[in-house]
Amino acid sequence: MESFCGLLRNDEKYVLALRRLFEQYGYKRYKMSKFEEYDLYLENKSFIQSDRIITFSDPSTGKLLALKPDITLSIVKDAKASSVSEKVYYCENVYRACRGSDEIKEIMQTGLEYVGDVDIFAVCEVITIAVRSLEAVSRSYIMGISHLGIVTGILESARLSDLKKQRLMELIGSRSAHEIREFCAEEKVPPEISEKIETLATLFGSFDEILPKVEKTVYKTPAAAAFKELCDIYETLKAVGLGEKLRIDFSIMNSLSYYNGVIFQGFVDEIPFSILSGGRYDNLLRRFGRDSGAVGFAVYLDLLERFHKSAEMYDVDILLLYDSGACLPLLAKSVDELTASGKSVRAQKHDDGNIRYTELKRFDGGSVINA
Amino acid sequence: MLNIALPKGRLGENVYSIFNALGYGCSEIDEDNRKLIFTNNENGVRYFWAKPADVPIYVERGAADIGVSGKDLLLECNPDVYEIFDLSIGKCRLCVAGVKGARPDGDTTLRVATKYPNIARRYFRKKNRDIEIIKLNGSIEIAPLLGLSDVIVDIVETGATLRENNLEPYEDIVDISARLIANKSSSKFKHDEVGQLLSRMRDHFCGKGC
Repeated sequence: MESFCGLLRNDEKYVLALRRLFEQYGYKRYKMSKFEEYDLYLENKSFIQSDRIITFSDPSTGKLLALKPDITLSIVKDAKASSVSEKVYYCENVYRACRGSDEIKEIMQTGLEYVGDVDIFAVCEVITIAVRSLEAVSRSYIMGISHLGIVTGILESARLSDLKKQRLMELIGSRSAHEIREFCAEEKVPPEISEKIETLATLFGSFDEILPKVEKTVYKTPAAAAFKELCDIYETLKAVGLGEKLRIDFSIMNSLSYYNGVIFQGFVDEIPFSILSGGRYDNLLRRFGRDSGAVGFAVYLDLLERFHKSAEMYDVDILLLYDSGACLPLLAKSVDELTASGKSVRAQKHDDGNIRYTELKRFDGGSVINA
Repeated sequence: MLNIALPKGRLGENVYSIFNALGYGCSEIDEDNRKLIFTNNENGVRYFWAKPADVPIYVERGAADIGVSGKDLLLECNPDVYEIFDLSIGKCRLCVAGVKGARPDGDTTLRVATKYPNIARRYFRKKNRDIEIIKLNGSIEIAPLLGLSDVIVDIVETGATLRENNLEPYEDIVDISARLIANKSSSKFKHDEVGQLLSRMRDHFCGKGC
């Protein structure tokens, strides 16, 4: 097994590390087909944040199918009744357009879902696994945590329509204090509430540093209960030594139609996008008519492809040249012997200059000689 | 070290002079040389010039930690970045404009020439107006004069160019100014550096009475 590790790409290595991690916490792999009925995505369009989906019709039934752009929907749509808790993880390819591009890409995604009787402990455990997943990628990582209950609690006091609240959430998401001020002034939001929203947008830092500021902001607002929950979660995570790497960050945003409660995003130094994203999504289950809770996250492994990639100097250890008249059984035997010694060998007739090698050898008179 | 993308042109030069005044100067940038990237280790900055429309791309993809971009470009391409400060310079408006005195009929498809197809599409969709976008890359003002389009959607600074060509603004879409943008990942890892820059910016502008 050892000798295969060198062949694995970074993203492939992480898949193995993450699978081991997930299994350690009692999660079971959920292997699924590549297709799903297109209707599922039509009904939950904004959940997958990409309207470009590859579709085709099933020749036997005539139904419109899609290559999966997302896994979570497929897992929760069949979740059992609320009394049963399911702990599953997946590593599958998904097909979607990403990051401002129109092209659909095949993306390796792995993630984990806890569906059922979700309590604070379950949330803490999922965050713990998420942090450990980041640790597996790099020492230099940051896990940002937000609580949608705090954001919506503060926004509620602004008394705006859902559409305008949505706009404010976008502005918090881009940390635009100046735009929030302008928008609130236009909508005649009381200055003290506008200030609170601005504060939420710009707060960032360790829990020890930021929690007191959040406490001041949520004081006597509907957000107080959510704040209490966030504090409980922090205390629990501190007990397993994860307090240091967590950052409060209300600019993390996810759609309220699906998410509620704690949401989080993981970043690794030198990767410009978040590589892990998740949270509590009871609201999504409610859309499927289920009353249970759910929490989970996904890791975007495509982003790791270039990360820590060491530049390979050589394509092959030995370039072995042979003539057209060479004795083929002896040549095959020679190549076999060289590869058995652990070297990589490329046998061809001419050195066309496109191959970078450490040794050049020639097959001549039935044996291998140095060229 | 903060990597900073500046937009080529007058706006970028003005912005650099603000950075310089705030203690983020970089003497290499003033030298007459052929360098593309300018570093000052002492002040912890590395600058490069980019085509204005490319600045959000450099920042979104992390090649620059922060950058300066007009709000028009941010609205048009909607990059996944933080927009952390309004520099209040390079002020102008995005307008619908056309030939003076003429108001296009409501009963035909409106032909709109613009550099900003996304903004124009969003604006007219909100008004439920049926339009046809004609994407141009410059000299937009000529389009209605030659009958290529009924109106244009473009930025208007003083309105002098419009007036000289017998055009006028019909409707304002949004006010524009230069914004400081930051990469979502690196501004977490460089939180202290970005925070210090931001607080110096605030002091600088509020000193002028904002």
